[in-house]
Amino acid sequence: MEFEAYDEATISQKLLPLFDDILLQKLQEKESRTIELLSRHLAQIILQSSQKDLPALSRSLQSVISPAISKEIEQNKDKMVDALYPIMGGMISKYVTQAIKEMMDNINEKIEDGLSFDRYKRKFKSKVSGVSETELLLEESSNAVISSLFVIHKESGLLIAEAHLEDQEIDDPHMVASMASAIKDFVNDWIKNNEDAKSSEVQIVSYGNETLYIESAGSVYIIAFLDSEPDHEQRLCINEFFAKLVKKYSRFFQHFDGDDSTEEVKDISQKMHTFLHTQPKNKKIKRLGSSKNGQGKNPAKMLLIVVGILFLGYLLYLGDQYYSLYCLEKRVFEKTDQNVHIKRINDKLHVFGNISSMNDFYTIKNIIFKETGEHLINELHMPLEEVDKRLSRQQDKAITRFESELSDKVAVFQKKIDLLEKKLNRFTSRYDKLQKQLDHIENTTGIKVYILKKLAQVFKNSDVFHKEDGSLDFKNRKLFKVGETLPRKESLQLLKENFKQYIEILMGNEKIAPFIKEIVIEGYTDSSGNYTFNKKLSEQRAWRIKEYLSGLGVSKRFHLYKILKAKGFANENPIIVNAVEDQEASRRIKIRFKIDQKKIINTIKKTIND
Amino acid sequence: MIRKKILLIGDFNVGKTSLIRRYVDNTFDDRYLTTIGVKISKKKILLNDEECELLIWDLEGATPQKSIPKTYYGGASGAILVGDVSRFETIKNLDEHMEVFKQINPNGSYVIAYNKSDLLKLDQIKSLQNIENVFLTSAKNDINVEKMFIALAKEIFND
Repeated sequence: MEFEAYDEATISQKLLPLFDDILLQKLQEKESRTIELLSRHLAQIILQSSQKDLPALSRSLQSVISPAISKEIEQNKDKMVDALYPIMGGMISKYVTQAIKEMMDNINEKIEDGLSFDRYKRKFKSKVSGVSETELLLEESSNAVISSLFVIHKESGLLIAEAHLEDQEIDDPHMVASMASAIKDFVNDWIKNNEDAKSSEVQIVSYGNETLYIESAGSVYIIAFLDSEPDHEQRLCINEFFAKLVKKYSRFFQHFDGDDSTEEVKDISQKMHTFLHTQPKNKKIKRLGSSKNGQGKNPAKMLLIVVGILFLGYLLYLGDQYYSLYCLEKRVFEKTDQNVHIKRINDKLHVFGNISSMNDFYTIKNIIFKETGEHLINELHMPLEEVDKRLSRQQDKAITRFESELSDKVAVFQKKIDLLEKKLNRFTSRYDKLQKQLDHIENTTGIKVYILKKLAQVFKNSDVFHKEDGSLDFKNRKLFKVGETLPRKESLQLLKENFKQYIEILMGNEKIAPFIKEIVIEGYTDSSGNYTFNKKLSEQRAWRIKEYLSGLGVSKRFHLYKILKAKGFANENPIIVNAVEDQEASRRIKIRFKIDQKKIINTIKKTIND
Repeated sequence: MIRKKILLIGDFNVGKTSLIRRYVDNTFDDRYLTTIGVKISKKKILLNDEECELLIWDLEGATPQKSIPKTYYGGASGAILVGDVSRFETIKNLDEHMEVFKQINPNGSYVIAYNKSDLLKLDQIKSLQNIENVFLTSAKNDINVEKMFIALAKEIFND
């Protein structure tokens, strides 16, 4: 390096920028060393600054702390809410403060007990899992024990199954379950009406020394009764157990009808009992053990040296493997934003942790296969709502398939029904036709009976009507004097009236008229005189009457001239009363109708042929 | 044992809680009713030689200031709709209560209790008798209370 001049000012001007760069480079290379160096003075600097100009220090720290807090709230919203809730809850704040104090003392005691195997284990776990040491300590310090478990039908609040630790039975569990349901509904309703987060539901209810942890699925929810609030690990444990129950008994839960004597309820209760008796004790025993060890530092230090050497050896041996698994976890985190833990057990890659959806699972599966060429053993947990959704999707698929099969079958049946309907219609139509034919034949063959019935209705009070053959017989009306062919004038009116009614019925009825072949006027004489004379006399009487009747309006209206006939029968059928002839009665005429039999036969034939 | 949830619904001060006190085996403290708007009680009954249990949700009468969560109505197999015979508007409102109940539980059974019937005159009592599913009850004089609960239970458990 050349200098224009060798005075102090020129040399400083040239060299000082170089020192800046070198110093910066050195500082960056030794970042940890730098922090160590600076940290010694940092507290002192902050203290001096606060004494000198506290407002200015606050302003400068505010610009750093505020965004940091905002970011923390954004990233760990639930944790922050959990942390702040006890402070906000006025009534319980005192107890919570006390609990936190005790918990912090516990943590501090553990931190002070620095040279313990647990600390190094915790540090290592923290490095590998990415969870802070404090958080792990918080988890360790939880002492919640689940004393009872309830599975409750969500809609009705009816208790489906229960399990308790010995001597921890709850009095009147069915009422407690209903009440817990009501409280849960009440709080959820309040949250819905008062909070922006419409989907949130109450999960923890505390009273006195009891805490209820509530986890909901589709149609049921589980309540765990604990002596304090459960930690993250315990919640996961309960959720995982509950998810298994929901998966296995989802149909039973959906159709639960209040009967708790079923095999399913017994089975669920047994599973819950087993769960209760396996989970909390180990944890408690383990925690108490570690606390006792904490009191004697020297044995721990000795143990630490031995275990530390072994542990380091083990770390070196497995270092490479752990590192590659750590990289794999990191990669999964980059891609899915999910913290999973990958472990090699029996030469298989087991993946633990929580994921939020099935998509995450498939992404993780692909990453692991791509990076290692191996298939993972799934030990991941999904939120219950995801399990629910998955179950619901499976159910939807099954329902769709069933619907499709059903609709195919329905279509086949529909075709058959259509075919049968067509056949039925044909049969019905044929039947109707036959029925009509039958009615027609019956009407036709029964025409005489019908005519007699009609005539009898009109002439029921008349003594001239003969109901057996439907004729009008004027035997009691003294129509003719001896040998006379003209009737007595006084009888004509009667004759006329009866004839008019008779013809109105026969020819005025469209069912009867087509089958009337003739209206016959029959003339008769008494038995005196010879047959030839009487025959002629009777014919003349019939003829005269016919002439008279033909002139009536009714005869013209029905064109009777074609069918009105006159016949003489001499003294046939005389009227005998007490073995003696009533000659005056025998001198009479009769009016009768004749049916056209040929027409009837033809009609029947036609009906059948049709 | 089979258990069923039933509701006790009606306007404020029609005597629902008094009916419960007359009938049930066990109940939670009344202060729950004013706090969360429901009080749970239970009653074991014997129907056709079989033991059944009713879990009775006594719902507080809604007021303009305080509404009752609709989720309380869910999963109920039956309901007792209670009106006060001395206040006509409470009888008139029974239709509305029934509509809410039936909307949420279309297959649910129900009976109607015209409570405080001890205040009625004899001719009024006669005019209200013999109507299907209607009971003239008096928690005060213990009239028809058990009969009404049993009638509802029979309808629910025989279904």
